[in-house]
Amino acid sequence: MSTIVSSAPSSSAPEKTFLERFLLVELLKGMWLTLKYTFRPKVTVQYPLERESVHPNYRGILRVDESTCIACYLCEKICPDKCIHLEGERGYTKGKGGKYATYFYIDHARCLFCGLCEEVCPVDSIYHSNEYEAAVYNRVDAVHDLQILDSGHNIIHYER
Amino acid sequence: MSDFLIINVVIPLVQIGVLLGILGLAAGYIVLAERKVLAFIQSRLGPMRVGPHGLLQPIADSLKLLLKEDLIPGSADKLLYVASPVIVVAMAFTALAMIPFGQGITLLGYHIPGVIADVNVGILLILGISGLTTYGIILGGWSSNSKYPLLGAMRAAAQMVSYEIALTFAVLAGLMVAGTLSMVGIVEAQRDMGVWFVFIQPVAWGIFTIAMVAETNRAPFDMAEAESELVGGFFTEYSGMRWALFFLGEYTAMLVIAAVNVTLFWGGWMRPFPNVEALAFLDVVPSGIWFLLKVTSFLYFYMWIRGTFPRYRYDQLMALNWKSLIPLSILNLLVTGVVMLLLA
Repeated sequence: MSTIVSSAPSSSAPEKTFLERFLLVELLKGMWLTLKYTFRPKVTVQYPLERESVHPNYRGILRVDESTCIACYLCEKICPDKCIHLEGERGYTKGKGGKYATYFYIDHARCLFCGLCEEVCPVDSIYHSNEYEAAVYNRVDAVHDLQILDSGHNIIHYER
Repeated sequence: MSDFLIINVVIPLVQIGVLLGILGLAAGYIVLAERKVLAFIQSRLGPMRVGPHGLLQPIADSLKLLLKEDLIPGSADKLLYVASPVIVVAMAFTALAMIPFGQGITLLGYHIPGVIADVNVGILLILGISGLTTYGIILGGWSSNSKYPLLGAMRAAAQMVSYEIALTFAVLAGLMVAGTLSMVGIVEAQRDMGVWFVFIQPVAWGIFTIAMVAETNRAPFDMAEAESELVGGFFTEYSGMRWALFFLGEYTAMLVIAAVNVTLFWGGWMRPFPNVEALAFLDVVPSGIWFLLKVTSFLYFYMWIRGTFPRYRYDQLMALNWKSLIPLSILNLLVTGVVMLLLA
């Protein structure tokens, strides 16, 4: 039995003197450490009350700039999840010529936030925002239409 | 109403009422303090949402526990299952009666002592009663009729019985200096000698402090609970209010044993350096506050070491007690006796 108990790997730490063992020096060191940590600044972020800003490259909820989109379908084609659907037509609208999107739907419930659409867009119209609060009460609400994608007005900030 | 009735019935009843009323709330706030201290040690904030800085958390917790369904496992021994939390709490509360909280005050011509029952064998009674807590734990673990509670109860019983020896020997060393068993008498002996016993008996104090942590089944000696091994230890099957009673018992036992430590080694309700006249201005602070300050620092100590040290292995726990603490306490007793004989 005693061999099992004392079979701890022999470390290179120097053998403690009797006085060190008797006065529990190592334990006091440990307590000093925890005492120091007690007064250190805390790392907790009180989430709904305070929010950490995310990295600029963070791939959050997708947004589309309606005025620049040329309805080239590249994002729809490259999307691995087929969560982007758009339709475009030729004509003059909003003071610019060429093609523009008539409707644009992105299903965020299916999106895997890979960033391929953002990469492939020739006019940098579709992009990942820094919004990460994408929770919705209804699956339909996760599908954003062109108006929402352009303005992003339906982001519900969690408050309490 | 005769004076006899007032002194012997009314005053103790009022004291008991006040003490129980305060303690019910205080236990909840000790839990909150523990969560806060542990969180701070781990660079967290702890409870923050219920009330400012989580100050209403104990009330929310106790409400939740009170409203929970009262579950008794089908295979449990109903009577013992119901009785054991009550035993734990009752024993812890009974021990509180012998704790001198202060010098006492004179109100409306009656002297109200700082202690509910100034028993002339007070400290023996406290040790005996807190020893009975083991019954509550082992019956609770056994009557649950489940493997983890049973294992936890076995461990708790073995541990508490073993550590009681070292604890009692350490107390004995203090008592030899004090020359009395009364809790009030011990404090008065320290006042008369002009020195706290921790400076006369540092080894006994060290042994007592280690043993008291083990005696109350607290980390790093919480073999009885051992969340990582035994789920929840002896109260695995308990929930709701019965579980809360176990918790209340545990924290009251902490309070009692810390109070014994303060009374026996740290001068009870006395201000620091009671014999130094220059510090007489400290007497402005009531004696009860000094006592509470000392007890609170011990409660902080409990939480501090819980946040610092990992749990002992069971054989290490026993080895520490039987190979170190008990021989040391007996040796301390012997040296104390010899020195007292030479000085006499």
